[in-house]
Amino acid sequence: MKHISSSLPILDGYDKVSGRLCFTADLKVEGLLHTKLVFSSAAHAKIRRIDVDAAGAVPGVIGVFHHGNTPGNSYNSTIWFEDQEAPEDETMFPRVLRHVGDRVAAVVAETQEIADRAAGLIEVEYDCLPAVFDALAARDFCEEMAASDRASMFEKPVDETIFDYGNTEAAFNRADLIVEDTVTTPKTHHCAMENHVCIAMPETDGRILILTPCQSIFAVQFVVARATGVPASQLRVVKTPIGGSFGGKAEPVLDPLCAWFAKTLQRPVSIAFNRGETFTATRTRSKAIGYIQTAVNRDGRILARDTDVLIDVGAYCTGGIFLPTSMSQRLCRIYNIDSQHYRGRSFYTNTLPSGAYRGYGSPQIHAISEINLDHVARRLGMDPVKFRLKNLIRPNDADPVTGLGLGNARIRDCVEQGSVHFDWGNRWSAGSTGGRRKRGVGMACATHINGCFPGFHEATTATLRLREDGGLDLTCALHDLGCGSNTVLAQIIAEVLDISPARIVFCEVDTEICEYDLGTRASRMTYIAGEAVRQTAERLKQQILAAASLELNSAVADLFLGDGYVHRGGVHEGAISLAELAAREAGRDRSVSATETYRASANPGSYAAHFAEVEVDTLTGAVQVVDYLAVHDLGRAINPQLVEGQIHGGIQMGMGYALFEDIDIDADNGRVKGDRFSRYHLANAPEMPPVEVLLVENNEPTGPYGAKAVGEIATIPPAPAIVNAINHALDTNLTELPITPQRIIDVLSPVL
Amino acid sequence: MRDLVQLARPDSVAEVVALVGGFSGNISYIAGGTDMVIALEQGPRPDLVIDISRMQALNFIDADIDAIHIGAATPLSTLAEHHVLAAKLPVLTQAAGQVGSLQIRNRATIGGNIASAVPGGDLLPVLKCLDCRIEVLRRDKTTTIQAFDEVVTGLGKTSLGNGDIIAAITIPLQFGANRISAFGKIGRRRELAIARLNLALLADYDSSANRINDVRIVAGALGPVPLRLRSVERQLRGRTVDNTLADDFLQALTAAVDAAIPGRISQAYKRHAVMGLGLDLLQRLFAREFSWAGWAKAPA
Repeated sequence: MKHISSSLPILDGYDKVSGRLCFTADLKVEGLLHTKLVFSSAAHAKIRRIDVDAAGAVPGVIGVFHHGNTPGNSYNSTIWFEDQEAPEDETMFPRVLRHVGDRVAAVVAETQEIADRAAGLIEVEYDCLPAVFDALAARDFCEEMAASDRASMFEKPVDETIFDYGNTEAAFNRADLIVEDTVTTPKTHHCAMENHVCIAMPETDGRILILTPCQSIFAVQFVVARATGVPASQLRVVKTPIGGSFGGKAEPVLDPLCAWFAKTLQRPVSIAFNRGETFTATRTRSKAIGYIQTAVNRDGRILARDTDVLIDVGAYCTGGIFLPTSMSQRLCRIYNIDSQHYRGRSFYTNTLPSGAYRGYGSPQIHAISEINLDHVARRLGMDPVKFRLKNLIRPNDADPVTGLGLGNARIRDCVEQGSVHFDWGNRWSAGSTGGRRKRGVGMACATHINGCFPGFHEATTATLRLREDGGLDLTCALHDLGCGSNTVLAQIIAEVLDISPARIVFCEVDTEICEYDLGTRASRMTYIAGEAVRQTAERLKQQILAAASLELNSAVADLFLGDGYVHRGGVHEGAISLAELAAREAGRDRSVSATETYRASANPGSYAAHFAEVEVDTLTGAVQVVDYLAVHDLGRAINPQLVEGQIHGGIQMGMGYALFEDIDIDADNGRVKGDRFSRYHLANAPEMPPVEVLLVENNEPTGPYGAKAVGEIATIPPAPAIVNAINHALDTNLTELPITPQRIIDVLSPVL
Repeated sequence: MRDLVQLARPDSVAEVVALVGGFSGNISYIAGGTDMVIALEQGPRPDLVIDISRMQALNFIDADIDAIHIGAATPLSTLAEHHVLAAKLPVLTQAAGQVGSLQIRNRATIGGNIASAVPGGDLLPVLKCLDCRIEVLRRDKTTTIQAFDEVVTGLGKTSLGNGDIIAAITIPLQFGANRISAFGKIGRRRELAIARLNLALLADYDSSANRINDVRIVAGALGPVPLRLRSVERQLRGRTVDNTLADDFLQALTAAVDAAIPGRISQAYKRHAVMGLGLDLLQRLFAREFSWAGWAKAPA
């Protein structure tokens, strides 16, 4: 193979590092207006009075918007197809504010400076209402309200999912050991380099054009239509280059407002959040509290598991209805457990809303289950690797709840190869060393999905056209979030057609020209979109060969593609360039193009096992990750360098999740404490350990060239692996993330 | 378009003096801008910003027999990498080398660290510990030489008036050949961490007798301004350096934290973490490991 398993540099890399690429905030739009939003300073309040007169009177202010003069349509920003059902609890400017940072008003002005100044003149008076800031309080509140039978939407659980298989109770009764944990994960923020931004402008025919760095142009179209009441047909959405998302831009936050302002004012309008606004008024990863009990027999077989998860989804539902189910799936796709009971509940709180964030529930549920499993191994006195190997699924096992096959699931290979490579056995049994700085090792396993099958229209449609210069135009609603997915897709097409990846043009991602697509979510780019473009390329190849067979006066079977030519083999060698072929076909009014729709028929698991060594300073509580190995079962790495990049980035994020990152809501007033980088700490370059990546490439039969996803799963095992290593080093059972120095000292100091 | 601010970039100190003398509005100086740029974004704007970042006259390190003179606009990376300084005052190079990230150290200046007077400012406890003298050019064209405490007066507060500029810092080289010094810090991460706690120590150490004759210890981030830990100093003065001393030193540090921030949420953490910091300092000062009685009680 020529283009598969090759580390082609990311296609737009040069344009990005040279500054040539225009991000949304860099676009020069004539007559562009600027916006400043006014946010709620109360966690839960009714607006008693809002006075915008002074703001409106500032010269240069073009419009002031608030609940009194904008459509109050309810919507849910998580939807991505037109008739999708989800609780509609959000409005552009609510009358009842549900978190600090909720939207009160907006000033649109000729300059950002004017908008900022005028926004400061808006006066708001609140009637404060009682507020809850965590899932426990929310649960108690909902139980109280349920008894009264008058609960409104916001006073009920957002969702409750229960599953049961086997006989959990009986298994618990006969178990040799039951190990129980409460694991808490923090609310965290995506911290993409690019803040949230959107531009909308009226087009000459009256429609509104929305330029937005997004994960699905169609989701934007549908959400904006619901929110504003403007029909979707009057909205055109074009994806702009995106400066990072990680799920943060999966839900349209600014787009409805921006579109409405542009339509009302008939001027181009931009909303560009600063860092603080992106922190406090967009989306987060939900906070979870997991109560987990695992029942095992003496030799380390897991008999049953009971998991109860409380999820704090924040002030608006968004995707909170999916989270309990999404978390539950992960519990059934990695270990072979005969009986499980699961209950997942998500609750509203008066904190900033959660939404999609790399892994969609997986980082939370894996932290809960993998930290607990290490605790089980410790209590059994068993090597955690050996314990896991006794229970991990095997290739082609099925999910016991859905019956769906897990594909060529190679988690056992990951664990076995990884433990040898890491010299796990020796390093683990060496135990922690004495003295001030203690070392320990930890590992964790993880699984993640490949696309949305069997739900949610899991299909992608692509069109490839052979251009008259011999290159290709690809039309498909592909949302590269900066991870290089387009580069991978170009490699797949290039492999089928034996053409240089550089000759492939990715057409504008535009609701006007692209077929409907779910967008970038659920780790579906390589696995679903990759297979879609592979099949489209195969179809185009047949067309090219059919056309060439006439030109070269030869049977299709004797023809083959190579380096931009169709060659005729055998004794009568000859060739025609793709450019010439396309030109000749154009002369006959024929285009050489193919359109294919690929519908997924499987959802195999991607798998990973991560191994970490940490050194903990028992005096300062500082944790340093000193060594790291990531082993991934991804079927095949189409582009090994990009795969490695994804894994390194995933570890950086997972380290932050384990050690540093926390949105941290002030329990007194609901304010976001971690609203800037000096208070919300990411793992920086000096914190990164040496990272080694080992790939298990064992071919997933349903994936393009055998490939499966890696983007989301890379960030799932690091946190439990690191926490397990800390607990190994200190002989503790720390389960509240992030494991800050303070939390370490809190558990160590009583002993001293 | 944002409001315009008048900017001046004088070439000499004389020009600065002339400029501020005739200006009636609010004046801010900008050197590295690591705090200033953020302040300009968020807070009220000054009427005049004077850029001294390229003023060579304020960017120097001169070593005399008995003192070091440092220009106010000298970047921290220059301090951190200065060999003479590293030999004579390791406490200063160690502190300068731990501020922010390399990018920040390349911009941030010693004068800016004093003028910002932020509680986590890494150089502040060092400068107090070293008993530095700060040369301030007043707007009325007078020059005053002031002690650290006279300039840094509170949380983000200084005695500097509008238009006053820090020109240079002079650090006396005390204790002759017996001088040893070290700096330590605890942040949440290794780089880019704003100090949660830091310690600067300067001592008169008689190496042949293995005895500490005199010592000054100053803690940062234990209050609005750097705090001299006299009770800890008393524990060390006149003592032989051994494991017993280490034990007493760590205990005294914990007691000092308890006294400085009683009842604060951070007390429980800092009273413990300060022991780690203390051990780091001892190891840096005497280049050997110290065992500590606490280990016996520490978890296995």
